Amino acid sequence: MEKKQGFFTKLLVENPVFGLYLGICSSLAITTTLNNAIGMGVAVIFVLVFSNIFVSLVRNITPDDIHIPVYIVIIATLVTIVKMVIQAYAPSLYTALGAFIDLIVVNCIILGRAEAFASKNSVGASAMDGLMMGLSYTLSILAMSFIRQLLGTGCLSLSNPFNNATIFDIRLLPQGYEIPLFTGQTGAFLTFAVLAACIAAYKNHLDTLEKEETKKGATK
Amino acid sequence: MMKKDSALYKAVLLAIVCTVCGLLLSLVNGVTKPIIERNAIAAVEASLKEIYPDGTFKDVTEDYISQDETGLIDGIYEAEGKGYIFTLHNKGYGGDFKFMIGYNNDGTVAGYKGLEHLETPGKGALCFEGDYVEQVKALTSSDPLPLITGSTITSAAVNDAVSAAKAIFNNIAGISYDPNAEPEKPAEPEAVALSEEDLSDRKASCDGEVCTALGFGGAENKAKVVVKDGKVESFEPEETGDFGDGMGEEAYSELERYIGATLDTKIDNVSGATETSKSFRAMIKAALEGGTSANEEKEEEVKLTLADEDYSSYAKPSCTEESRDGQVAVYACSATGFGEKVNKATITVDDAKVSAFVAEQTGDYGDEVGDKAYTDENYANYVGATLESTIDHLSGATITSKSFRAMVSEALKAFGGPAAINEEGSSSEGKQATGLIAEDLSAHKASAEVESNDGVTAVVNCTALGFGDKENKAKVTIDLETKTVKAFEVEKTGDYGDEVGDGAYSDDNLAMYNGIGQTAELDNVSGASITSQSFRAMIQAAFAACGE
Amino acid sequence: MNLFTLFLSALLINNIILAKFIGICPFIGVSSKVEPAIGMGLAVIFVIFGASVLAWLLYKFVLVPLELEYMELICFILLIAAFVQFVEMFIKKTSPSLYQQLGIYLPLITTNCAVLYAAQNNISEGYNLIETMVNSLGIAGGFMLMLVIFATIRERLQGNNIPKAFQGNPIAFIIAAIMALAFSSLAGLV
Repeated sequence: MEKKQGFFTKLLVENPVFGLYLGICSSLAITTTLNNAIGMGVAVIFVLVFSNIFVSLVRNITPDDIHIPVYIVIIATLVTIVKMVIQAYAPSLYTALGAFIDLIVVNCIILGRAEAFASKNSVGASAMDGLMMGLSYTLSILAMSFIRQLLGTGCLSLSNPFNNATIFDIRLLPQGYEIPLFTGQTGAFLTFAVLAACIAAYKNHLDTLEKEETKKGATK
Repeated sequence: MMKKDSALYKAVLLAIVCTVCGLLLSLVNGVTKPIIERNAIAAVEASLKEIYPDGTFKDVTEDYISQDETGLIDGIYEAEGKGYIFTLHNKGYGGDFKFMIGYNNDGTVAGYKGLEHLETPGKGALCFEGDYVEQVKALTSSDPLPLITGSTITSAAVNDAVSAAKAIFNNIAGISYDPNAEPEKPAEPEAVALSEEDLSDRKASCDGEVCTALGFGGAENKAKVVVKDGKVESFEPEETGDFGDGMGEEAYSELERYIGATLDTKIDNVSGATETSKSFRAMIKAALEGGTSANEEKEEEVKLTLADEDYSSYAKPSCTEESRDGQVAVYACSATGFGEKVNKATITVDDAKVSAFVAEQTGDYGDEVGDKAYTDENYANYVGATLESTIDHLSGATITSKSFRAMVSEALKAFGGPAAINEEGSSSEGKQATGLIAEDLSAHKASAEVESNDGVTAVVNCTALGFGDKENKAKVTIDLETKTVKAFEVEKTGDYGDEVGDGAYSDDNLAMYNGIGQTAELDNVSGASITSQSFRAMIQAAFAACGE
Repeated sequence: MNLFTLFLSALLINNIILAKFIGICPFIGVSSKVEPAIGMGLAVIFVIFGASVLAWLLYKFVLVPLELEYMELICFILLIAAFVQFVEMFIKKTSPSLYQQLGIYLPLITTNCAVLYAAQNNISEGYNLIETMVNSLGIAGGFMLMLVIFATIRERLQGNNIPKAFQGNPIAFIIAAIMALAFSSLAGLV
């Protein structure tokens, strides 16, 4: 069974955003453009990977009752570093992401992975886990942004955050056919709901398949 | 090795973790902070470089902004080694404006530039252009800014903002100065004689003693101007004009300068109340020049008799006879008065003289000035008037007086002159008949429409105003060869219905029109003069319509 | 700034959940029933208010004078964690019954974005102490308000036929979408 659940499936089913409902705040708030999604995704990957590394490093010397504050300090430091770097080198991204860069600290994904994985595994494995989770998260918010930007503004655009140069900007929907609702709050919730439902449906499908397999196996 | 569980171990671990993180952070901070600051300035930098082209700037707003109580300072930038630049905003005449002023470390002004504004060119805009800019650049951080005539509000606002900047700069640079130094009052332009000054944009006009003109901000100013012998005797502006704004006030108290003024006098502006002063001068000029119907005190004015005065252009009086009792007739009249309002009056004429005049109190009444015309005192002026009289108009109620005179004149004219018509009772002959064609019957406004014309006979439908302005209709048949009236059939619904006019409609009397030519002399039917006139008018018109 | 406007704005117009998307995790997690929702809401109000005020004091009197503004994030999050820990101990000792009701939520609140957001918002907007208090109450009140409304709706929905894929969280988001739509009409009120 495990093997059948391939890499790709795992990515979908154990998706931190739609499958596990972690890190929702940011995925709703900033997924208005592809730029934002990529920017945030990279920031989260950075923090996730390094926090996992550092937590893994100190896992053996940290007593249980102070592990939370220790992890928090590590994560907060990393987030502050990321924030300063973005503010200095990519100011437009900084204004777009706003307070949500700071809120990466309380992004449940990071603390969650630190608790669940990095504190129990080797540095290498933890780093890998961080990377995977980060990528999974980035893909999720990319999906959200894709839908929201496309339906909300009719265009898909990407620009270099370091110097504001446009990489591409294509209009896919004719002018006047866009639905501005998707750029706002309501659209965010809607898109999220639909994507979450899709994942849930897929999960259910997989479960049904599994049950049938077990039945088959049992009857054999 | 310490036990993992001991409190000391935990504390130490925590401390180490925090320290490491803290160090890491301060390292990154050191690298990124300057870059961040530079980014922040980049936006404003272009403007800042206009004052210090080679400067390197640092945004120090947060360091000093708390010292600013006015809220007018947007940003403070330090040009390293050179000075400080302030970006400021305030509200001018046309709306918000933004500008910047830079001070060198020694206190001299390094630069001054407007960034955005909505000021009127030639007025508020002057604060950001040309001469004024040069004037400011020549100042130091201790000096107040000069004000500009005609754009007092904007230049005062600029001055206020700059004061805020000065306060902080002088604090940083350690320069002492007097924050309460008053800006110089701007030099007033030299006054010109009223006759030469172009005040047409004030659109001043005077009606009698009341004058209006446009003042500050386009608001209308009113004033009472009394002119005697070409000189201003008194000038009383109404306190609700452009008054209400601190600046204009003074103009309303410095009124001595207008007394005794003639068209050759030069009157100065009241400082800080340029617009108001101008509007006052405009009103005085209009009053001195005579305005529309000003200055009834002029002795030279020729007074017209009621008969000669022309009321058609303005007052347009009209009267209807309400009753007639021998020599006495009562008329209900109306005429246009002040402000295009309609005045009404009841006028009693006795033997071609006005015996009573009472005006209805709803006319142009309602404005204090016209009031006086509606008093019994004034009405008495009209009693005894004939068409040959000249009646003075009431001072300050010129137009109302005119409308009254118009009504009286019309009533007298309707009455018909000294040898009054006796419509009833007496057997005296009616009005001296005159040849039909020569008779002036235009008052009856006869009209004729040819119904058929076969070259031999013409049938014409006519109308004319009869008694009480009621329309009479008649069909006139004209023999074109003999040029005489073949038949005259009058519709019995005209001014008919009133006993007096009856007589005119009787067959006997209608017979008098048959066979008449254009030179016929016809008598009025006794007691039905007006009806008879209207019949004659219709016949006249019928002849005219046939091309006779 | 008008305090009433500030409060109203924080409570309804810039509602932290519907307008700013902050505090969603516990929002989704704790809102299936009304009673726990009320409990969580009250706990959040208490924590946000207390933490915001303390954070403001810390910032004004320690970080700024020492020019350590960049330590803001770390200090605040540690402060919040410590504050919550302290409150939990306090409630446990003084009122076991209250602890029964609220205590379990307290650790959750530490990672509640809302608390950190509220603390930082007061600093970034430059509010004074009174404004900080009003703003925090508004934010927290808004959170609780939405939480309770949400819970009421979800409770009603429990008996209904929801498509399998939407059951649980997805339908919750649809509800949130509709609520967001409704409350967005308030924009421009102040």
